[in-house]
Amino acid sequence: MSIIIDVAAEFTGKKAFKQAETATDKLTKSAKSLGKALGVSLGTAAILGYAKASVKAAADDQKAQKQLALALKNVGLERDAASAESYIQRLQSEFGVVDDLLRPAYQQLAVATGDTAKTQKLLGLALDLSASTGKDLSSVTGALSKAYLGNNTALAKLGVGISKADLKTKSFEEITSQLAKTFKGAAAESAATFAGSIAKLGVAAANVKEIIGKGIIDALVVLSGDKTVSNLATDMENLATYTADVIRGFGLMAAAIQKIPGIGGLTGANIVQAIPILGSYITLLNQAGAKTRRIEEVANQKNPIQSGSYLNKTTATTTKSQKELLKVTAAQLKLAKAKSIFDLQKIQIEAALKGKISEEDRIRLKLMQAIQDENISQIDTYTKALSEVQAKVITLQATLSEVYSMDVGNPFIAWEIGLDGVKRALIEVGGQSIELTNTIAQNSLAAGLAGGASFAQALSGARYAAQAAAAAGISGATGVMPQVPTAGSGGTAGSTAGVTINTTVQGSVIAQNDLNQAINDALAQSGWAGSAIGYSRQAVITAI
Amino acid sequence: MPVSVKGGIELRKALRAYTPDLAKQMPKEIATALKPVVKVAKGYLPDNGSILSGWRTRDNYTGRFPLYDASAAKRGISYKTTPSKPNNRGFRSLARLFNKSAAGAIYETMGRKTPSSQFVQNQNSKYAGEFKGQNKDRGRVLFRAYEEDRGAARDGVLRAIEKASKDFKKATA
Repeated sequence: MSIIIDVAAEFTGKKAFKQAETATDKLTKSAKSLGKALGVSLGTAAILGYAKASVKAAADDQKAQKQLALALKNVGLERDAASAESYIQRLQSEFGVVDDLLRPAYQQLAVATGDTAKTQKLLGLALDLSASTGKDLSSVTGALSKAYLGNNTALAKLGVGISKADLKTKSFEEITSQLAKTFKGAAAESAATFAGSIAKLGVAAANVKEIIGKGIIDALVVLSGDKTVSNLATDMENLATYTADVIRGFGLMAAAIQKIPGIGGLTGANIVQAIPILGSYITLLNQAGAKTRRIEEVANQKNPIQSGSYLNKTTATTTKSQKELLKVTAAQLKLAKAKSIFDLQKIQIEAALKGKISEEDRIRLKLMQAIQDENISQIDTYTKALSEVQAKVITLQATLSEVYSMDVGNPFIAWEIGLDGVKRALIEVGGQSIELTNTIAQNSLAAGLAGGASFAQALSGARYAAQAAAAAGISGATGVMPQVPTAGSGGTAGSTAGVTINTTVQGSVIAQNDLNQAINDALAQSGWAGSAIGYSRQAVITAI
Repeated sequence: MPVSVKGGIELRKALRAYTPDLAKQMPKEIATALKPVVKVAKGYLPDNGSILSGWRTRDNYTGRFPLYDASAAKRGISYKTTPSKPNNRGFRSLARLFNKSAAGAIYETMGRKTPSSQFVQNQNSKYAGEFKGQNKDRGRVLFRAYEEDRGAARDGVLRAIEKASKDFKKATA
């Protein structure tokens, strides 16, 4: 036990607060309060120290990028290097994990899986596990990569709630699915906390350091005319001293400008731009520096949308990129040619061309073939030929429409008249020839047929017309209409007209057969009496 | 209660990094402010003759209760100007006084909670210093000296820190 009296103390917080302080200190040192610190308390040594740290950070970052790209190339994922970098940058800003940790993790998983999609999925899972369990990302990533390769021991040691039985029986996909379900959103939730926000600020500070370091390296390389950074230490120290003095001067000038009435609200770059004459020079320098940076970004294919606008054809880097692009294009053409051998569509066109086709179809097929081959000259040729053929077709259609519109009458009308005569003379009915000698009957028959009636209906009509004419005393009936036998039970066409026989049935009629018998008897008696009556349904119906 | 200071630790780091001379100067000035309290506190410790004979230090003692030795107790009263580790409430001390000997600490605080115990009564009957201070900051030696100092040491410490800060700004401007 000892007695202690604190005369003066400073609140520094507990562990979490200490992390916050560390991160905030970093940020204060590196970014936001840089200008303030320069103007107030920091000296040349601080600037020099910061510059060195920034250059080191930029160099380390570049080295890490190259190592990752090389590792991806070695496992056959070279084309995914750019997407891997962008994915890492996204994770960095989203979850507040620095790229110095993410790149080795990505590399480890990529080497294990050899697949970009799986790598990114597992890295996301690793972040969740790391955030939830508190274990560092490299341990989690190592465990996952080992588990992917079949060694589940490290995964069991993570203490993520996977039993030994599960590890033995379940597949890696099943285990990772279970883990993803269990720890879903842990990293995002962690990033949303205060500590996560501080981590994000820490990431931003680290990025600021890298960016500034990159700028210093570029500037020094330009100044020294050397392409390496190995001999730049002396230049860097001299430049840092000079820069520190200049920045300190800027701080004083900015403070003075802010005191001028009316422009006190200016901040950041606006203050520099407000400096007479010098401000415009600085702005020009800023634009030149920014353009140089963008040229490099485009050359590195970080910003392909802007390609062309910032490309400087005189730079060796750009020329190299263009040559590589040409190589890729040539390779693509070769590949397309090889593919054409097995192109089913082309085969079908060839087969169609060998068949019997019209000239227009042939030209169309040739045009399709040219389009498939991407042969521009042939496409032009066949397009012209097709246009000519289509023009000819249109001309022919116009000519035909003119011909159809001419009223030349029916050239076979004389034949129709002759056939009418034949129809009048001979009518085929059930294999028998019937000669119509009555003019009225002939005309009625012809009119009925012309009106669309069936032959039986027309003949019936003709017969009634002849009978009506005879009843009315109209001449022209030169013979007697023969009764045309009807087939089956059809109607009253076969019945004779005007004979009525009344008979009285003696006794009782109970069934239909009794009635039929009575009628037959009456008809027979009538026949015996000399009346020639045909047997027909009409007669029966009348009797009824 | 200590005075809460902001940026003191950062100031010390900055001083050490950029102005080593000032970094050495500040602790000296703080020490100057604290030394009088220490001196007075040492004077409040009783000599070996004023202590209960059974509590007095002796050879071949095998017990666990710490025996009183006036010289050891005086050595135990001192000050520090280096920042401490954070305590359980997150505070780091920039300047502090302490009475680190066990027997000295016992003499400092005995009777605060159990004034009627036999040991306290016996010692009081022989020799007892005056309690000064309030609540937990109540004692016979260091607390008494600090209380009687009436904040002079505290003001001296703050003045030293402020002076170092101003000098640092001047040196780096």
